[in-house]
Amino acid sequence: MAKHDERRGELRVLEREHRTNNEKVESEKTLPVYDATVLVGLRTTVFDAAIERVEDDGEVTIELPKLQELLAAAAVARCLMPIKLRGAEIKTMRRLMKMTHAELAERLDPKTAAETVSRWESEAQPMGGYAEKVFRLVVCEQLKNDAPGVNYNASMIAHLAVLDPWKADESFQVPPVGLWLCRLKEQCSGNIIDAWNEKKAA
Amino acid sequence: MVGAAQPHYVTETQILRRVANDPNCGWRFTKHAEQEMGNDGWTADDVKHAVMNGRVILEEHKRDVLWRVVGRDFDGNQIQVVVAVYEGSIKIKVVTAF
Repeated sequence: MAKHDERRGELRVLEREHRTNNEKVESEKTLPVYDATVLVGLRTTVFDAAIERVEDDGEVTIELPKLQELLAAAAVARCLMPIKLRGAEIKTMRRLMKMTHAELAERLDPKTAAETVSRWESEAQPMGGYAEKVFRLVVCEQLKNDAPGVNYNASMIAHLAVLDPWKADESFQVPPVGLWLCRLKEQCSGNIIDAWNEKKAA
Repeated sequence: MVGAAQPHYVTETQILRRVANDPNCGWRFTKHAEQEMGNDGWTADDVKHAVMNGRVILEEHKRDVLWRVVGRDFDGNQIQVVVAVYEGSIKIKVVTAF
């Protein structure tokens, strides 16, 4: 009986061991510039923050600190860019807000159909100028708390003169949002926080 | 018809969800995972959502202990993600997604 218990004890230890990985990092560095477009889903460049690790077997991994805040900051910064939103960007932002097509349609206007949102995302139907402004406003209001480093207020959306560069040039590419991690002092609490801040082109 | 018994990785799923839902969890992506995600149009947020709400269906012992997780993105599409979970340091390495 005692032996049986001992064996059970051993098994428990093994069970504990098998589910815990140990980090095997060979080298680690912060990349000065990193194209985070794939991970974010919006054209984004991250400065002095992406951590590249090389493990002892040569496997390379990328870690973006404060990932959720990065996604929110990229979305808010893109909404403040006066360039028409593409379908894929609308889709990324909707998912970031954790909304279904129907929920977003309802939030924009009760008369908007879920199918219309789906058509905007697949670019089967262009999003109208008014709807796009309301959409940008919804995104910024929903995500602004996770993006305290991006300078935003609702009037910035109201005054946005949105351009459609694809009318003149079909191959036009949206310039990437540049973000870097900085330390901010929160206005209300006075706490020092790390936040993604927009890096404006010089 | 009764099929072959499938292991239920209940404990592993609990650990995975606990680590993944920790606000301080660090998410690492291998170059391979990033490439696969780009090919399928999935973002880090989609993969995170699938892992946070998914369940472990397979354990593989390679250099790391890898768990294959089946989950869904916000639109209900199925994503399978292979992860290594570092419980001690609260990190998840995404090895691949398909």
